[in-house]
Amino acid sequence: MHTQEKQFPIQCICNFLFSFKEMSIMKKYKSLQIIVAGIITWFGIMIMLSFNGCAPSKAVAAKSGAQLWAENCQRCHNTPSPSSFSSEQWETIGLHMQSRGLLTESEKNKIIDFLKMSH
Amino acid sequence: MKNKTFKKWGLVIVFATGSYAHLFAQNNSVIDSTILDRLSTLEQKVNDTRQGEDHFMVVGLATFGFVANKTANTLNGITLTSKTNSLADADNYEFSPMLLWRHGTKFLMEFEPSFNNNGLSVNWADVSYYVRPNLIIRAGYLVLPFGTYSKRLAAGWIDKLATDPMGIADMTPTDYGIEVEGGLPMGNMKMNYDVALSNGNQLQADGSLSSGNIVDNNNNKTITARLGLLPFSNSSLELGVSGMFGKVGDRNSGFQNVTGDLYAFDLNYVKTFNPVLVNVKAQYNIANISNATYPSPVDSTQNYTFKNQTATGFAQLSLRPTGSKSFLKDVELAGRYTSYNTPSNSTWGSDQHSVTIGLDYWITWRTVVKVTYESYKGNSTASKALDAYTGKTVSNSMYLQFSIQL
Repeated sequence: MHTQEKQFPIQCICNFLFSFKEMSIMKKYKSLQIIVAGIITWFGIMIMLSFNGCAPSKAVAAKSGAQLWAENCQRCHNTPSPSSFSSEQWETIGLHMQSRGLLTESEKNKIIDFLKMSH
Repeated sequence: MKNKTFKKWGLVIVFATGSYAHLFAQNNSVIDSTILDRLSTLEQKVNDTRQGEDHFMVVGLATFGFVANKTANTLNGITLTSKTNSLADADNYEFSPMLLWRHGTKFLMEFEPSFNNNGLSVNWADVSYYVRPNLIIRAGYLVLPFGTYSKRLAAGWIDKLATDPMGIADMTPTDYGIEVEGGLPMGNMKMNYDVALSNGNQLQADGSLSSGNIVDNNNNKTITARLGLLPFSNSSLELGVSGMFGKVGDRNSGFQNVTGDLYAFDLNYVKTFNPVLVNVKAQYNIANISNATYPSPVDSTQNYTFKNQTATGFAQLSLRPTGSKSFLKDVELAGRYTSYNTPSNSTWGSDQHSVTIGLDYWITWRTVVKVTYESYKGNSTASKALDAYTGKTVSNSMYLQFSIQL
């Protein structure tokens, strides 16, 4: 306490700035830790849900293949014409797109059924 | 007499009936055999075209174009100007057939070789196993799940502009490893996850990173993960966060404890506000490499260090009329801002910005002609002491590009 009382104003400012710098480093480090912890936790939840199953709402479950085709394909590219590929080809492309767009299984199946019926 | 006549006519009738019946039977058998032959041929044709358990197909893309460029570089008060033009659009030329081989409904092999400005290379080569409705396991040479640009949006027939945003693709390595991913329904929302374990980036002598190495340079594997959230039931918005963590230095070297921590944040919003389809894409990447001392390129007896942090990001907006019945519905206007900062006081430090605008004409849903203009400004922040400072660069480029997916 005695030494603190004898500090010159410039020293106080330096100490303050130093502690602030330390704080910002700590904060940055903590924020990185939080991000990493968040990612790990989220991943754990995803794996758990993947095995236990999770369900869409009734409104989402009732969506047609045509509606899902219109909503999901354009997230990355233009909506494809059903006549572009044969039924067998749509089956194969469906697997590829399920992975690229990370579609749910139900979405993929409905979209591919719609494309196969319409081509 | 009557009896004799009756018997006579009876015999004639029996003979005639027999003869006709025979002829009739012969006609039937000719028709039957013709039909049977045709059926047999059709069955054979159906059998020939039936796919069985496996299905193999080739898709792919081709991108070709023209670029005219004017660049002015100012260094030590001297400005040098150069003009170039290339018919192949040398930075963006690509011919990439993609081979898809499906085995039943559970396995898919994907292989995409590419002939582009880097010569002949491979974009990806992997095999996927669709284990459960929300779980896919993949192994091979993978595009790592770091942001969304490289994995979903970089293809010429998808990208609204002729160029890639600076630095984004460079920070999304393709690597040897295994990957687990899936999409999950969550009520009105959706989530998706994508996690990969790979050999990881390798630290270069100048502090930059290289990727896609089949032999790992250390015993540490790199984990890359992305989590996506689609909060609206119409899937119009997707927000993603990615991380990539691992050691990057060579084993048993002075760099063996150097780590690379990379983060990416992405946004994708696509929605029709009649009569316009609004498409917003954005991604921001940060790479933090832990402190290290590097040998000086100008004096091998000296070392130098710098804060090894790279950041790059872009925001893109495109608009396309939807209600119009005229050719306007096939036209799309796009604009993008990109910022790319590499570490100052390194040998490759720079502060770069570009503004890109373009007009696209969609011939079909997967065939496009793009006219793109890009204005670029770059200030070197590289070390003058290391003789790496390259001054200020201003560049303007005009692209005419055609891209198709087949």
